[in-house]
Amino acid sequence: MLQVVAQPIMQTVYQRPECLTDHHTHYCPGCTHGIAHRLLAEAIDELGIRTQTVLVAPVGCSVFVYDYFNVDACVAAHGRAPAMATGLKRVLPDRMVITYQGDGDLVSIGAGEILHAAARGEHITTIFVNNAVYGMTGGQMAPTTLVGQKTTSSAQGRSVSSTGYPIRMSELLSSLDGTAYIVRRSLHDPASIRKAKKAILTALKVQQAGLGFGMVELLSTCPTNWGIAPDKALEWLETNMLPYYPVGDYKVVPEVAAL
Amino acid sequence: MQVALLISGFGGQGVMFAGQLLAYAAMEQQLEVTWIPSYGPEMRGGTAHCFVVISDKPIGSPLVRHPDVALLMNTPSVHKYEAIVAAGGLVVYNQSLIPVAPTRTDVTLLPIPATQEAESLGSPRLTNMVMLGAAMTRVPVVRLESLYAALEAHLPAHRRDLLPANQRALHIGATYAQQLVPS
Repeated sequence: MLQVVAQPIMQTVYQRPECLTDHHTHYCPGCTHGIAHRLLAEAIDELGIRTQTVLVAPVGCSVFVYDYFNVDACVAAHGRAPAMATGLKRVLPDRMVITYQGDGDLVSIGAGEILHAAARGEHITTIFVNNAVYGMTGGQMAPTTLVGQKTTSSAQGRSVSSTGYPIRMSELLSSLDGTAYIVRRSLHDPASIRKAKKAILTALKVQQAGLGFGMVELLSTCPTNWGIAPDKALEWLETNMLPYYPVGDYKVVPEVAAL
Repeated sequence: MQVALLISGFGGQGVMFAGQLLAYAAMEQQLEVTWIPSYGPEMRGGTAHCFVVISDKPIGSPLVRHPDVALLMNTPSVHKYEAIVAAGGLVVYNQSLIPVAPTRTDVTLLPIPATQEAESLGSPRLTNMVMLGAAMTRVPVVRLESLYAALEAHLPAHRRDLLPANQRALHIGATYAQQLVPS
């Protein structure tokens, strides 16, 4: 007699990327570092380059990023990740060298390093997490803090007459001929996050193809230091940061189209 | 006379304030004192500890290799610091958050359900005071009265309304410890 037995079909539809360890992150509730980490990890896995990747950690909230990624990594002094990445890539050119930096690390103390790495066209990729404050040190004003934004060192709101204007790093670096791919994306909603993932994948392919310096700026939230709840922080980003830091492609060399 | 204490927990448990209060109480009694904090980079959570040294003579260094007394407020603190407590010393630990007791047999273990007691007093944030009250009954160098006075003098203005609760928490901790037979 023929017996028909129903079997449940189970399929994994979502899991931790191989590139991420199971170490609990120390980030605050609502921090978009979690999203940025995941996007980078997925991109590395999809390109199959986990064992070729070298990650350079910054100083800041993500100083322990090397605990969360299953790749070779090192940590640089504050702001110096692009310099360390330069040394790494030039000595080990077949490795995928990625720096992961916040806005204090990259735009403030690291301004010189990123400028010159980009100008020299170093074949590295920078993931730039921009939340318009110094996070780890307690929410002080950063070079990326918006005019009028209140921080622990601009209690009445950033004033132009005393501290000038915020720096738009993607626009600035895109003026340098050594750059191959400079884009800004945002992490404030699912559609933007999907676009950010594509940009990160492209940036890594740019390095693989040896086209020059690549950077993906990711507009991010800091609920703790902005003093607002995580969901409100996403809205704050959309309302306040997008107008000053428009999402877009600031430098894309023609060869990128073929990647 | 010199006694070195370690207070350790996670960021937000009031580890630093407890150490500072102890330091101020010792100063009240005209003793020499040092307080040195240590904390991780996290904006929320993370680890926090401080060393307090109290002496009747000038203190050579605020750093402590082997504390005589340890106030351990969470399990990671037990893992990190149980081993460094001086032999014959005292380990006061927050039983409410530490399900697996420290295992050293050459120190006195004082389990205090500090978070539980704090909650029944109105807030888990009083845990640090319960722990401190409990510890001080076994460290007679600093009197409870000095701690009460230090609270009056050093609780920030925007927390004045919590003064009675904090003093009660110290008292509850002390009472609890006095009733316990050391293990």
